[in-house]
Amino acid sequence: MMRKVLPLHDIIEENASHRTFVFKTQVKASPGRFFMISDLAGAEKPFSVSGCAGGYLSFTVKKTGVFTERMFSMTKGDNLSLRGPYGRGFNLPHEGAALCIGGGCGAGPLRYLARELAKTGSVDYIAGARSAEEHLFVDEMLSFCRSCTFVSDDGSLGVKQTSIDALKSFDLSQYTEIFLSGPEPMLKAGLDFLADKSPNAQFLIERYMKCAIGICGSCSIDPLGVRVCVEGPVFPLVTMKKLSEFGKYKRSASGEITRFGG
Amino acid sequence: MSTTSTTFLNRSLNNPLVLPAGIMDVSYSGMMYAVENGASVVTMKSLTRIPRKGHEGPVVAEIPGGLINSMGICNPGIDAGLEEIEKFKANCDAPVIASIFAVAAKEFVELTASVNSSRADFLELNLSCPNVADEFGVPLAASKESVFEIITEVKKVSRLPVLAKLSPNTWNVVEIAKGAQDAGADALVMINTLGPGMVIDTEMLRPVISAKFGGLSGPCVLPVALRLVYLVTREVTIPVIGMGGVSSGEDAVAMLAAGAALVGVGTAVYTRGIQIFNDIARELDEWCVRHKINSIRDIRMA
Repeated sequence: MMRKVLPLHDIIEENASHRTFVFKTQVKASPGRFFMISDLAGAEKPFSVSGCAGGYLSFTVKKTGVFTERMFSMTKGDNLSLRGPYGRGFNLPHEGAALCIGGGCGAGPLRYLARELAKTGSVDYIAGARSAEEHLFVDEMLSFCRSCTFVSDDGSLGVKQTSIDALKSFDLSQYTEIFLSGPEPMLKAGLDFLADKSPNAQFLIERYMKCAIGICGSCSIDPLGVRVCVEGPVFPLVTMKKLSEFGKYKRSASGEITRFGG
Repeated sequence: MSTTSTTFLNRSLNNPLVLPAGIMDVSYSGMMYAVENGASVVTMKSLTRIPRKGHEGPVVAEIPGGLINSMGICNPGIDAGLEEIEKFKANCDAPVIASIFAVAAKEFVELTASVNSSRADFLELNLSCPNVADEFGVPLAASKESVFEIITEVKKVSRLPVLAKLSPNTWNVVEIAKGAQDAGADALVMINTLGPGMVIDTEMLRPVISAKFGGLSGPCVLPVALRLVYLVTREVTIPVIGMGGVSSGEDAVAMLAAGAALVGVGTAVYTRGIQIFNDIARELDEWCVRHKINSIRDIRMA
């Protein structure tokens, strides 16, 4: 585990609720891996890498709680503590076409993944969000993906549907690999849709994390007990099919079970 | 009969390796994952009467030779925790230690009554968490009188063998261990984390751990654990689960030689990976073969 304190090199306002925090560092991490970021003032949270190139490391953060609110009040030059990179990232195919499917803030790690995939193959991109305003990296993804399909809950960008509904009209046989990243209900819908079609698919998932080094057990997922921080956060479809807790419940900071949509 | 098989309080085990409290044990599946990877006994995270979220992060900091951590006894509470043990037992035969944490004998007794009605195999009294002193004061394991009183009261009601988890952070560990035995403890578990200690970030001039201080674990505490297990096992007849920095088969041999009956492995799950229980069991077997010893039970100081 490496921990480093780095000053914020840049803060990019993506939209009202998302900002990208950029550090200048030689530290590298492959797509799908994450860092634990803290202000050493009583909070630390996991963040997936949304960009890593040319000596810059970026994280695209949604304002969701006390710590991210504090991050949003920070300015260039302010210090943050980073430890990582942690976890198993995406397994990148060497060639062919890949399909990336994102929902909401899940677009962050997919942006970095798609950039890497585009170096050796072609990328089709499907992204869903609440509204046009909530969509991330629209122009950037359009600039290098073979195709982009943007949809939204309110119809303000693209068709009024979910990213998984959009997925249903794609010919999956053309892809060597499919990648999904987004909120759990979206990933669960994707899992249910892909389960019997058995393409090569990888899912980036989230659980409450504390240590991030595989010892505290907070992010173990039933019934396999695999740790999202070590064996994940990216799991292949074959593993996802066995994770019966996924999409149904998760454990909170105390370890108590909380159900989705309950 | 394999070289690594042993017994503990009338239970036969394939190897002496224990998943200690606080390691991958918030859920039934985490404990099962440890068993699949070679642990022969698992401990459920110390349970309290009501759920606890624990401390905010960062909860761990790495130092040369180990970690400091301060989780703050995060746990889902006794009822939800015992449900996890039931789910574990529905899927897995390995013995489970139910660990409980409280600050007074009365509450320990109440928690014991709950554990009595579970399918746990052993009851551990966590008397020694070093990370909640702000909230609860000095750990109970610092006082021979407190240890004696709590174990005496718990033994009156416990259906299960009672294990006392002791602290290394006091000068009279041997006296406290004898007191635990005199009160009726069936076994001892030692050591809990050392210190606690502090790591200060020199860029931000802040403690790295949000709780400021955290218990020390990992290879750097092994010499302390060996000394205390050695001293205590000269003076008590009840078995001791020895833990603190064990990361290899040779470390486990040293812990057994010091006098431990079983060996806990915690921090090394991070440094060597989850398969460490199988790895250490294999390394123990290789050590026995190399030294022409038929059983790890024959490992003792020359």
